[in-house]
Amino acid sequence: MSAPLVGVAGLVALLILIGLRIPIAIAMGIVGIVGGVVLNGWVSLGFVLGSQPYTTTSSYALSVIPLFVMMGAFASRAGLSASLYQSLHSLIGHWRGGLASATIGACALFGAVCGSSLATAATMARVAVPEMTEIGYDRRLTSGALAAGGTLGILIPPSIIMVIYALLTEQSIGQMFLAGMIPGILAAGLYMLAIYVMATLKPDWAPRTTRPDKINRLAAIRQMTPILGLFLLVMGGIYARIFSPTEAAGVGAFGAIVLAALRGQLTWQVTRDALIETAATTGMLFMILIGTSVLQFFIETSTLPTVIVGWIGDLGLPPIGVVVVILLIYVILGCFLDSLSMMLITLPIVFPIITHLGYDPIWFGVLVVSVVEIGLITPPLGMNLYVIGCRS
Amino acid sequence: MKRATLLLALVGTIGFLVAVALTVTDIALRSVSTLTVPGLTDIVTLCTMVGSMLAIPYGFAADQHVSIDVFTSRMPPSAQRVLRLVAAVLSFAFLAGAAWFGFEQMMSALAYGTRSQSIGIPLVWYWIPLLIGIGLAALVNVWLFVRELRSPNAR
Repeated sequence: MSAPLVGVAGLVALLILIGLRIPIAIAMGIVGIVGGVVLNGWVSLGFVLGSQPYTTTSSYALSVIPLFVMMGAFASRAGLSASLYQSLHSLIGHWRGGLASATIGACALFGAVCGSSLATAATMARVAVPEMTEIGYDRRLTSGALAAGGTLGILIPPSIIMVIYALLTEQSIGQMFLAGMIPGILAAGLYMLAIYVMATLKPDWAPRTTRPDKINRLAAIRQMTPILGLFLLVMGGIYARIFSPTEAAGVGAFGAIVLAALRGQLTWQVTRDALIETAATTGMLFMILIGTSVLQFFIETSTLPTVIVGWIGDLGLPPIGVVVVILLIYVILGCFLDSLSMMLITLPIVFPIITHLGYDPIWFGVLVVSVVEIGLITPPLGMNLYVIGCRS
Repeated sequence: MKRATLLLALVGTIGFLVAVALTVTDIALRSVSTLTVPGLTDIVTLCTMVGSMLAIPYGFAADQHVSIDVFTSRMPPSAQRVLRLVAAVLSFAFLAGAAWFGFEQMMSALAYGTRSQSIGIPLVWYWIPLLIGIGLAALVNVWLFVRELRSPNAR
């Protein structure tokens, strides 16, 4: 069997193992090891297993991950989500479909300090569902707004998945964040527009509320200040080149802890829960990164990416056609794989194709993250749907 | 086992808190003076390794590592049980292999006396949390396997 064919067989085996509920990190690691032994003999076993986990995890650049995770964990427990939602409720709740739009806005702003779609959807669902239900919003509109709004957590920077894309493809994290900003704002705006259209067509789905007086609106703006301040500190620091992304993550985590303390939320229970979430998420992400590094070594030695690049060249498809095909594959895979795993499994093959076609890696990164978002709300594995289903 | 690994993970998060504290201190120092925290990148990297690696066993004990159950959830309980046993065996094989070969690499680093670039932290210090994390995670999978054999409904 030729090396590229071994690569294909490895990928098929990987999908089978994942389908059989083997932890994705382990499935990637096992396939990477077995494939490496088939291609390079037993000598590769000790080399890959002995060196890849260390080389992957002992990098300063990776420190950005736990620090951003910690920032999100403390922010989501500091009661910031409730303040955000109430503020936006006061400011735009009287619009047509205003409460649903406020949910989108709050998700976008909360996602900006949280970095995780699931955490954004879960936190906002706890706050928004009771209020929207009480005012008489249709459950379909409520759930749709939350599910779509939750996805903004990974598009609006700082986003953990963007950090991982940037680290794996050796791109600038700051540039990734900058590039994600406008698509994130655009997506939030379009979701709000969709809600407006829906509320116009079906007014009984979204009863209108009265506009609060000026004092209440000013109070609402004041309530938003801490979270906007934290976001501006982190992102402004990166863009103004005052901090590196890792330093910004450290400052963000510190800021979130201080905000929680100032709001009187920094109890022992909150601290413990936030630290457990940070540990569990980071351990899971690092384990996946270890599995990915072993798989990547196998995929590279199989020369499969080079063969696919040549094959695509022979097809005569225009470059944009290739991108469309790749994005369609992502949409289909998103129905069955979680966002991060899907990106990590496919990147070793897709990334060389994209760079070979001459596309900008940062542009492609934002595109991938946007498409990966769709997977979060696509059955049967739309994770945001499960989270909202549990909360509503 | 879940409690013990949770405790270990929580101890590891002290590393993250130290990393946050040192990073903020460094920024504060350099914004008001010419001082910085010496070897910040070396220390933060070590703290990250401690926190992340010590959390890996908890991930296995608490079933927190990402896996897809869309297809297996429709299988009969006996088939699901077999798959959990297979998952524990494969996880043990991968983690024990990584710990074994990693230990050999660590002994080489120890023999050569290699150190980090800026403040000369022995590289063995970086290996230790990695080997503890994946070694204990391998043992957690032995425990998961035995638990599954003895009492299939213990999850």
